Amino acid sequence: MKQNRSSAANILALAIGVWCCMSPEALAAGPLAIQGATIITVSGGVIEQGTVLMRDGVIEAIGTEIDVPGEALVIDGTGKVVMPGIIDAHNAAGMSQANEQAAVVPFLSVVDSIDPVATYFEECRRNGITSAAVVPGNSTLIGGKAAIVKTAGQYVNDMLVRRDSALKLSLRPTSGSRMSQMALLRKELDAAKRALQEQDDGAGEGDEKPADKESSAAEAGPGEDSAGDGSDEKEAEVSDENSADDSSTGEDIGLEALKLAVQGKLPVYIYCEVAMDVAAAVKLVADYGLNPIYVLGQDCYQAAKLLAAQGKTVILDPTLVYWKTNPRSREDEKIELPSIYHDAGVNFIFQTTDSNARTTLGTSYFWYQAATAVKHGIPEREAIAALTLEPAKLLGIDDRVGSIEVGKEADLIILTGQPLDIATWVDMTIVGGQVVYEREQDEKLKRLLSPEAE
Amino acid sequence: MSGMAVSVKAAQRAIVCWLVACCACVSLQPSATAQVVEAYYSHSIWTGDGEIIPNGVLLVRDGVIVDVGPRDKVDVPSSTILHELGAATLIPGLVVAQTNLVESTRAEEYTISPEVRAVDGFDPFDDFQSLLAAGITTVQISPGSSRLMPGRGAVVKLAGDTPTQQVLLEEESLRVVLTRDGLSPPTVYEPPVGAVSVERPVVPTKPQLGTSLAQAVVGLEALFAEAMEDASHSDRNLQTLSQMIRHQIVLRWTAGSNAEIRAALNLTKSCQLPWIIVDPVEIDLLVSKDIWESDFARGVILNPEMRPGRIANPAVPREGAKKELPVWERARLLVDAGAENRLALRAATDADLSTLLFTASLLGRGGLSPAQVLKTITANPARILGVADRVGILKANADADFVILSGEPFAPGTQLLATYSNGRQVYENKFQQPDATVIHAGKIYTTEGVLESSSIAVVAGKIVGLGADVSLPRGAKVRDFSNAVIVPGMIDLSANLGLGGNLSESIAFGTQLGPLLARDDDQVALGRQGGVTTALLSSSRLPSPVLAFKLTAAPRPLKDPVALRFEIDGNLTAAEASMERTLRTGKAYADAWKKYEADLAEYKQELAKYEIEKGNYDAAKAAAEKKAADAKKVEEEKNRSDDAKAKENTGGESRDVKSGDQPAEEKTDADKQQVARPSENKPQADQTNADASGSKAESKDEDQLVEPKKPSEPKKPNANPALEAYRDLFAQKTIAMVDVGDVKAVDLAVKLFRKTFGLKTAIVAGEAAAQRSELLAENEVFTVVGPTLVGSGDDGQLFNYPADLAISGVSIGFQSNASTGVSELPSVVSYAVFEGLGTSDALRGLTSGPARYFGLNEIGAIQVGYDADLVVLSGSPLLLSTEVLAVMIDGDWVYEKASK
Repeated sequence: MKQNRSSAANILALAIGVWCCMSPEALAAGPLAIQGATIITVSGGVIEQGTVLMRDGVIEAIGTEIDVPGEALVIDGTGKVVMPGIIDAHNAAGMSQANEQAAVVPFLSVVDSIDPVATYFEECRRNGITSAAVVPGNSTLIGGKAAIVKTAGQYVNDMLVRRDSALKLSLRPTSGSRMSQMALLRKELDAAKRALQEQDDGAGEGDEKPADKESSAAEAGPGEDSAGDGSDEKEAEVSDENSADDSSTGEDIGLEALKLAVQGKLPVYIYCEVAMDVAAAVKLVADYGLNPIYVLGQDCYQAAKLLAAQGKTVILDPTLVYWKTNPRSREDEKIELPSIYHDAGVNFIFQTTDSNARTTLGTSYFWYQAATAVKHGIPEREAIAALTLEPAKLLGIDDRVGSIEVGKEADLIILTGQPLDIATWVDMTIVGGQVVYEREQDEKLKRLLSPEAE
Repeated sequence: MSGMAVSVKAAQRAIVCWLVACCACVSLQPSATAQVVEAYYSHSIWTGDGEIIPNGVLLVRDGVIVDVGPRDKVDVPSSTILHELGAATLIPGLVVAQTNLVESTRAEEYTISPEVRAVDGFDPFDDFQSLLAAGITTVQISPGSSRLMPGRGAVVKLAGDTPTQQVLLEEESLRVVLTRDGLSPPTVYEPPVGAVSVERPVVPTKPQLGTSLAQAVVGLEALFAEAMEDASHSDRNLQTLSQMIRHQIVLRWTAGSNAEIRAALNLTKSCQLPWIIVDPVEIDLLVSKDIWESDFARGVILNPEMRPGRIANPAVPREGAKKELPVWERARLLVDAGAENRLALRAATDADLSTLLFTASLLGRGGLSPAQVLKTITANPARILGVADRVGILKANADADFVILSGEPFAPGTQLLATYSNGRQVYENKFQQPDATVIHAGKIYTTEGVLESSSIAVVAGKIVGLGADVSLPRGAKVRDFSNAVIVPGMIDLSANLGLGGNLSESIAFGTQLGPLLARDDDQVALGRQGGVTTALLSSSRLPSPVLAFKLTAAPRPLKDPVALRFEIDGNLTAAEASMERTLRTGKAYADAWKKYEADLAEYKQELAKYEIEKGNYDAAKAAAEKKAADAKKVEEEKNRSDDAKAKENTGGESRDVKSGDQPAEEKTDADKQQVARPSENKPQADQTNADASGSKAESKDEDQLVEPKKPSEPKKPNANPALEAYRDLFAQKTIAMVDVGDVKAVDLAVKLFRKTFGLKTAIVAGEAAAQRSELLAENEVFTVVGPTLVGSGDDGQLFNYPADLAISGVSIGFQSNASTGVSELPSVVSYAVFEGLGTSDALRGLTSGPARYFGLNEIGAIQVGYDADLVVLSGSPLLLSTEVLAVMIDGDWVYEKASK
């Protein structure tokens, strides 16, 4: 560290710079290199004593013998571990005043509510989370549209990875029974289907419109592989689409998201509170051709077999291990979700907040979730993938983030030790090739850990 | 009713060896292999549609029934897995025509909500074990029961591999509740508007329906008329309704009174839809014949109006009110009107579902046969629900949903053994109590006589019930030997079994043979096959102690020793002298101990008396001393100053001093008592107090107290292990068995053992005993005969010794002197029976006779409280033509004849 005093100082200056005025220009700053660290690439094994070279926010080279250009800022990674930034695939934090009242609001977008200076994002950087999907909560039937953001940025637009990344459905009834909830939900989806049908019928009459429709359909589908786009481009695309649809049908805006959902173009988060919701969700997906992301409550483990048959990666409940009383035998049994799903052959990732953004762990202790899974028999490699590459794949952003690969965005974290070790700190968090968090400069953490702290 | 009762009896007897079959089922359960065929053979198969197939077989492949029919009519492929269920009965999995098994944590608000589907509230992951345990495999689920039009029902299975597989019909019927339940809450037909928002705009309220039946019906009429007219409604309810009418949905009306039923039928008629009437109370409109000729009549679902385990208090009917027919009468009338295949029974509430198989028999009161009753919970509800092609009837191509019962359905004591859904076992009755058995038999030989068609209940190796109608121990295995005869396990009074070989060494009387018994002795296993369950064992070199033991795998000593066996042989003069000497020595030893025991008892009594007296004496003495001391004290106190005196004498304190003294006294008394008995301590102490105060009052006679004398303990005689056995012998706790060769020896044995020494004597002799039968009878000497029981004299005349003895009134028993040949003992006796020995005398000689004489108090008879040692015979006992079917010792089947 001593040798690199100057570079550290530079980084410090840079970090402060980033902190103070994050701007597109800042992203285009000079190259950055981490040398001599253990690199967990996730996609390509572990490199000891390796170097990562980043330029223009993108990973340029990885390996043991990399020529680091003279102008590059060099971070000494000796004795440290570098891994991809953690991705939070489902959380309701990061919003200021989320909607928890109106039940059917498919037209809402979390983007309008994301608060870049929310404590949540600060916590994310502190704990190594570089991308997060901000999703409406579990208390609304059709809660609106989610968005994927980077956890650093001054304005929402700087942070956006994908606007309208998915639609949120929650099968937990807030009023009436599950039956009437489902009746309401089906009514909405039927309406969307019918609208699509009418649209197609109407399109058949005109001559120009089919071509128009096709092109818009090809363009649309934020969930599809339209690789490598910048977020700005994406945004423009979606808004174009919206305006086009509005003009063509003139129907209420709520239907638009639902129409995309029943076409399978917009992924749908489906929150299942209990196991029977999983069955209902699976039925919905089959009936309406949805592209689902299953978000599971604790008791959903009973449906593990059913979920395995769906072949989808699921998001587990934040409480991974708990005790449950068997109603018949009156005996307490320990439920270990990771091993249950692993044994059933379900691929899973984690979340840290429950529906009401409450947590016993702290919003962003993803490493703890992975460590808990490892404790209950999940291979460590898989657990780390479940923090990084797996959520990236689930969200459809694995072409951009999720692993340390040449060409991917330079979102990575430097750890003081092995990722799932309780004594390990996040030393630095790098988003888009910029250091956005440095533990040495973390005054809040220092205050928290100082002897005078109460 | 009487018809039912008879079938009940028959069913009670027709039960199974379930354990064997059950084990087979479990071990052979395939792991979902697609093409494996399984065959279930059972005593009878009730198809659920009224047919009863005796001796049937059910073929299942891949969760579907391939064929069902009598054994000889069904082709069973060669690679089939066979399940032999013995006397079990197979019935279809029960189908319940209406339940409320839906998730409903929150109440619905709308009174009319046709869009609500019960299938969305079905939790396939719920725990339905209690229902599967009651044989229910398919249910209709209803979206609610307390609103006018709660929504659409569904038909689901309670078990299945995937939730989708469990749903038989997503939309089965639209429910309308016309009874009071549906009209409450009467005024709220729509929830309050609440906060206005985008998804909840202010809309004009729907026309409000009234609170009465008439108003509700008018509203419904308008609703249906509107829905039929036009399909493109913006109103959600109307939209759904008109769709449903187009798809010919069944209308399920909950309607009790004539008015309600009439309204339901009229409304249904106007829409040309099929209908189901649920819970009718007045059935006048439903018993007309033409109504059941219509295709729209899907059926009637009756409410049993009873909840097993609960007693309702019906209201006293108002004067002039129409008398309601009981539910079984209604069922009868409906069947007569032509609704036999459209009549279903539901459970009064969901909590009573598990009792459906019992509740259904209520309809038997109306004269429905058991097969007809079964229809109302299997085939008929399946037809009403429109799923009869898959469930409710055991027939080819239907789902393999079936239930294995231990006997006929609706018979008391019939247990549900297992439930299968789609060919997979989803419930197994695990409450089998391994040590409880109930045996049904054609005849049972008890000490009081022969019981015809009776049962024996056995728990933990003991007989706990006996008679024509025994209580079934929970989880008991039931064995049916309807045509067989059961006699008590027999006793062989001399067998060479149990030690794994011959015993011919001389054995001292003190030796216990019990611990020497070998476990899992093959000879014992063979020996008990004839029906002998208890044997007496002694060395062939006499004298020897005799052990009585059970012929179980781990032989159980009953009494060790049960007898001492002597021999009178050779020169009788010499033998007499030596035998007399032996017995005299034994008697002297026994007498010495007897006297000691008497003395000891007396001593103990004396000692107790002494302790009381001594206690009294000590107390009196101490009291006297205290009195003297007190007197002294008073004197001293008088000399003290007035202040001090006042202080000392304040109420409680002086009493404290006193009562503080007395316990101390008692303690010293107790210490003095050498053998202090805690229970006696207290009254004694009270007595001392009383005495003390008494003596205080008398203030007299310290000098006259005499210290009582401690009694001396009697001297113990010297113990001699070799002679120890004589003590029980002379106390008549054990028997003297005497082997005698000839008539003189018989005389000598009677004289010496019986007359001189007064022992309980059993002589072991053949012909000689028969010649002295009067002497033996007169002296109450037991006689052991065998193995030769019948001999021929010089003139070819046959002598039947046991018969001669029995005629004279001598108690007899039998011995085989064999090892594995013990099994032949009953055959040997049967020859004597053939030659004239009475069967009951012979049987008594093999069972209760020796058991009582030898003091084996828990064997030898079939009686409540006795050991469950039973022999199952194919016919009357002690005939050569009768064979042993099974032998039970201590409640375990130790032998069973291999089945053909």
